Amino acid sequence: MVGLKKNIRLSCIYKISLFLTLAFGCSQENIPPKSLIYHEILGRKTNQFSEKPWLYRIKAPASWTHVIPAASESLIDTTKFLSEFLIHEDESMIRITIHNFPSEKIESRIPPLAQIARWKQQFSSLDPTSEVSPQSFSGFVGLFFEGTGIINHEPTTMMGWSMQLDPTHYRTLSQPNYHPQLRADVTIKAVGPKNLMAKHYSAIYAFAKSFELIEEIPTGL
Amino acid sequence: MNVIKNLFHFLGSVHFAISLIGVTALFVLAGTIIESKTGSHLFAAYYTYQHPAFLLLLGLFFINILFAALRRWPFKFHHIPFLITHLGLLMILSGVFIKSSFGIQGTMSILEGSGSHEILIPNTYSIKIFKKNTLGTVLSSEYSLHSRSSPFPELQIETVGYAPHSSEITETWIKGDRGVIAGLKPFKVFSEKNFLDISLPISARVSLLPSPAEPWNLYAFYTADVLKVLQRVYLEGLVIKITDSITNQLLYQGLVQEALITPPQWKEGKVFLQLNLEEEYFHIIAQIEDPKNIQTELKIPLTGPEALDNIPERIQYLGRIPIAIDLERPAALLFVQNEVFNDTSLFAFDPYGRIHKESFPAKGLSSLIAYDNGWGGYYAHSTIPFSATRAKRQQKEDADLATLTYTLEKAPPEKLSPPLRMLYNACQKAHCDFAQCCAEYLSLWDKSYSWLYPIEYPTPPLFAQVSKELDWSEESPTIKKCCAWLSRFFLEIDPLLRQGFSPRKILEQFQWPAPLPQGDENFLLTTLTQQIFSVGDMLPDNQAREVVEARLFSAYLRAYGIHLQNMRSSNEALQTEDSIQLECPLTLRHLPKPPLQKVEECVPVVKLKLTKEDKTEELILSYDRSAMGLYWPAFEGEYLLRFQPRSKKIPYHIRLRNARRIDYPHSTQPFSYESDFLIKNFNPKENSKEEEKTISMNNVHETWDGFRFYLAGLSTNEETAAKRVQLVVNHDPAKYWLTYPGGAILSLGIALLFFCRKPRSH
Repeated sequence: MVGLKKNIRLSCIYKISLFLTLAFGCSQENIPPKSLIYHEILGRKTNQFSEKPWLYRIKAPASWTHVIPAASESLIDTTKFLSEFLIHEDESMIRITIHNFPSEKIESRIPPLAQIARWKQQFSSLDPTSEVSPQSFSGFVGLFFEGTGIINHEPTTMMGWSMQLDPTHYRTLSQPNYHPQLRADVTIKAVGPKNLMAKHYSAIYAFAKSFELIEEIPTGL
Repeated sequence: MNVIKNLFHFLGSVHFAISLIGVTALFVLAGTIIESKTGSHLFAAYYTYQHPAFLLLLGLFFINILFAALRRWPFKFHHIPFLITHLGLLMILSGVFIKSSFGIQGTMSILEGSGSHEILIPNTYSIKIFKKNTLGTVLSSEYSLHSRSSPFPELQIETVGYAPHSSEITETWIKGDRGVIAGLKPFKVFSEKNFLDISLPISARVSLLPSPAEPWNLYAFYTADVLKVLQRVYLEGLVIKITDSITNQLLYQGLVQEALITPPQWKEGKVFLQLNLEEEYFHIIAQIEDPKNIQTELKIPLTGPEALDNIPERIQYLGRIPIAIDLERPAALLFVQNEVFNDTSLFAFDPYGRIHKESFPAKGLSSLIAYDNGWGGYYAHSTIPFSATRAKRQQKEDADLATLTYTLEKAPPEKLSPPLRMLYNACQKAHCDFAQCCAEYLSLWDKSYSWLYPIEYPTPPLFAQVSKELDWSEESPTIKKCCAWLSRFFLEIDPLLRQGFSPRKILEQFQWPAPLPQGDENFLLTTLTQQIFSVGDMLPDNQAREVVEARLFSAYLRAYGIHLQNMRSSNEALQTEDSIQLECPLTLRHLPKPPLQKVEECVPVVKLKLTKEDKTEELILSYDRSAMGLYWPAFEGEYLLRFQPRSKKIPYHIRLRNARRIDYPHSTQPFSYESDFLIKNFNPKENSKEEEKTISMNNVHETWDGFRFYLAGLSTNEETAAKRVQLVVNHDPAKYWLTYPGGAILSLGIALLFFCRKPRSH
């Protein structure tokens, strides 16, 4: 009798574990995101009298400081950033700036490699381990530069994305009913002390990859 | 009554159940065999799982299970596990019926940055129609092939033809027996086999370059051998001219066709010609036997930016050989269509023998022009990079030299290298133009095919003026001595180099004492030159004081690696400044074919008759399974149509942000594919907030109302273009209230059947 009960108990355990394995074996849950906030970004004025259009959005950790240029600034000068994010830690700081470069025609866009060549020149010396790799996300295609070297006598790391809209999207957004800045090239550049950049590498990478146009890019017809 | 009772008992009996299981097994067996034989799941499903008999079988299963349960009436306590099991089975079967009747399964294709809420239902057929009104607003609708009503009231659509399988051919420049170039009169296309022994006919003569250029001959042929036609047309009237490039004296002129058989000869030399049109890189090889002891091969490219350059095949660092080969012919355009594959090739021959080739495959045209996004039709285009000016070899060389002269004029004197600065100072003293003098000197030296300026060559006139002012004393005291030694040394080496001997072997023969670098021969000779300069202090005074200044100066230039070959600039921009642009309207030809057993690969074609008011048009459209191809215009671009799977809107808008492949660590083997989406529900009961989701191969997204989203494919693994993701969307409306609960109840019933068994009496 005791043996029968033991058998029944074992078979129960076996059946339940088989059921649980079949029911939940292949399931994979999304990892809940950390406290991230969407920031919407304004574009540049096309002339002194025009309005700045809302163009982009990006997801940043709540602890980062978002610096927005004054509303009175036209930002017609493309050397001025659209948005800046600061990561403070002790005395050190990482600056992440976002620029866009409007273009009239697809042929007149600045090649992403030219932007990266310009960034490289900002180093007084650059480690040979610096890397340039292709990237594509949110309909943008371009290059990711990652390099460490000396800027202003300090060991500094730079992570930079030089992105352009995919040609298919560029053609779609060239229709007269879309704001011309929607098809502008975009750069996202993070610069900071080597150790601090290494610590926040993943967060900065995820931040850049979350960049997108606020409005979805329509499909052809 | 007994019959009904018996029937009731039979329908609920084990025997009936076993029969049904047996028949089902036969269906499954048939399905497996058909699928393995045809390789087509769809074909097998058509005769088995999707066949009405199979659906009837499922209905009979439902009845059998229901009646088997009802036969236990009146129910007793110990019937509970049995009844629960049967209830679960009935619920699952009901779920299957509801899913097959009201559920959907489709695919969605989204490009990164875009979104969609429309799915395509595979293996369905419809005509997607867009209409543009006068204000430019675009309206869209779908027309089912079996429908009698048109989505736009003013437009009548009638299906007048249908073939279950076809092949589609893209017609470009050749359409049937006529050739078409936009803006020109259609021209006749000939079959090459009718002109095997007689000269090929010209279809038309047209002006393609601005006057006063000669009109171009236009040829168009069907052929089974494109290369043969190309050779015949190219050689038609092709003339070769051989000139002495120092004196510009014409040495030989004749037809290439004859020169290929009998090598052209002149007073002192001979050249063997070989024409190569078989590879994409068209070129002529000219093997020179020259009196000036030059034994070399010239390669004359006929295509690309280097076209018509006379390039020594093996040794380029010695410069050009002192004879030049040029071609001349009447300019022509040749269109050839391959009879087997229907691919069209365009060849353009400019008056100087250049060839430009473009291919227009019958399937998979690489680029096209879509006017007004397709409303204005589609055109194939060709850019022929031929120029009306700077087209001759001589013109190209003159342009190169002019560019060099300009660069030298603009160069600040203090930045010039020592030999050029010495020449600059001499020019200043002699009141001579430095840039002109230098360019003239380098040009003449370049044509000598020697490492140093040959003694026997005439001194360039401007250099002769300034050579007396060359002040070697301003340089290091050993420089002139080194130049003299180099000059003497190369008096013996240059003739051997001109005969084609390898510099390394020559130096080995001479037992050259210093180590020489491996690899490039040009670098080897430069190193040799620099080695002589580096031991200048140790060299004795050279006895050969009669060496001309032009030769000494070339030795000094070589020490700094200066030669025209290293200073030539690219004039690609100049060559393409007035290229010829050609266009032709794109049309399609459809060939009906017997249907394939693998139904999935069949490409049906439909012929539509469109009527609007008193106008009628016929349009033939091939099935576009992925619905990503072209829309074809009708009624002069008032409508756009495409034959594609039926589309269906779903209550979820899916926006693709980022798609990626994840590899195993330190490997290029894919571990998973993932995509980040923003999913917005249109259902008014739900708040329309966007939800962020990552869908991967093992992570399906399911919604509360029975929609499932699977990641089915990624267009590319590369990060060099926006990626396109294929999602499979599945909707099972009964899933949460029938199928899943049915499964749970069935499991419970089975468990109860195990645990509540009556102990068997022995």
